[in-house]
Amino acid sequence: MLTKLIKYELYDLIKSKWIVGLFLFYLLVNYILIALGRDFKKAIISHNNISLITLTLFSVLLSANYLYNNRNFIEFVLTQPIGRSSMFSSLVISLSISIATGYSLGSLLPFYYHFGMETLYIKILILNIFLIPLFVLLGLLSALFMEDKLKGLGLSLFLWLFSTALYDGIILYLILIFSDYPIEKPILFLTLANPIDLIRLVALMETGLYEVMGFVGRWLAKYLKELWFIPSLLSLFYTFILMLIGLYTFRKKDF
Amino acid sequence: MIKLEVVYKSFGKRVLFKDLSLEFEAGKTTALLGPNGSGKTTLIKILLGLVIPQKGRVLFNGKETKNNSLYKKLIGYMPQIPEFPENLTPMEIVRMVEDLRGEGAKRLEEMLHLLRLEGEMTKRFINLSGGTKQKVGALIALAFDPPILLLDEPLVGLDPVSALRLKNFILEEKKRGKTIIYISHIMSEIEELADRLVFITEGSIVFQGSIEEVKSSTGKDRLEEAVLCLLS
Repeated sequence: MLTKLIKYELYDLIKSKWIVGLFLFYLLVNYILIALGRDFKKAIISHNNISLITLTLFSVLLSANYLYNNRNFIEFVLTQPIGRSSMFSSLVISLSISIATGYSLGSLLPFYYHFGMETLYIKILILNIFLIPLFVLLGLLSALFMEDKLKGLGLSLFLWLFSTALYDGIILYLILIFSDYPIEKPILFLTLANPIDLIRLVALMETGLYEVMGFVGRWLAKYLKELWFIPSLLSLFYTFILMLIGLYTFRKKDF
Repeated sequence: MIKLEVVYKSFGKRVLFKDLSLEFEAGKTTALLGPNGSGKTTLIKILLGLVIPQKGRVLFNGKETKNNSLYKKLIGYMPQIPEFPENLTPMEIVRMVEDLRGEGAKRLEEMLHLLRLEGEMTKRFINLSGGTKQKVGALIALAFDPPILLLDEPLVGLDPVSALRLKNFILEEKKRGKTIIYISHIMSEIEELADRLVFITEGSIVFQGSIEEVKSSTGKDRLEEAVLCLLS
């Protein structure tokens, strides 16, 4: 049943053409990045920084918006012999697949065209793709918790802002407040708890720029050089937790 | 037999159903009546598992519906405002529902002809007129020939010819012994179709019985007047 639902949702999403918009956006951005610098490592770092901001933003907004706009369709599907768990899982999977497709094609093509097949950008793409279901779930949960569309979109934007910027701000603030204390290890733990920060670090490490990162960079270079996929595991862990919350909320939701 | 047992449902502080118990007899047509916002559509949504009551049970043929979606295969639901994926055509929607239900739309050709939808099946849903969307809703509810029909104001928004055809079709289905739960505000329609009335105000059942019973209990000859009497 799950695969049938995914098939129809993907079909609807493809027909709605915003995947094409996403593909063109990343195609253009990456083409500009490569054309401006013509330096592989710089392009990768810039691509990663832009992706961490935009891909998470698109994921959270598109999924929240999709749930609001397709509420009646979801209601209709639930009048058929379909379990609520299957419906929710199919929403997460089809939204993630469609966003991941637009992003990876739009990013892969210009890099492949200019630099050929390189494992570095494949690794960065994989790390970013693992963030998509996590942020799709944040968007869907915001829309499930808030009946009002404006409030739901506001909540999803806040969650995105918290994960991508406010969290780092809080860490910096803690460093400033407790600068007289030996807080390297707690700070390291807090940094490693956020997959977005960890992907940034891995990208710097993979491009050989970890020296600029101070204590955290040296620690990562020492222990995590071979474990570039750790942020993906962390994203999967958070995705799993949010999925459980989402399934519970969706089962109790009135339509 | 469809049964609601001591159902309690509130939305925030507003209690809609307080320990509501109700039975819908198999093979009968029951009309749900009541002013706007009285809980008729919510009641149908509880039967469909779209609205989850905080307490109580819903039983279909003696089996509880909680955590079981298979009973919905017995139901054809026509909502007040049908909404389907905007980018799909009605034919794609029919195929999708066939796929999801795991059964073919047995009466597709008959319903297409009855609702005069043949020429609309390859257009995108978003491009259809309001009345045609309503017909697609009827098509999906009726083409699978389910034994139970939940119809929420099915004739509203249809052109007179289609409304008459659909009403006659529902009468035929009634004769075939289907269980029909029907929401409408048009009394002539209810008099023609319903065996039994359930009158709801503010989430409580104020009357249930046959049309003759409502007339005799209120001392009125016309259903409109009897309903007005119940309302006041």
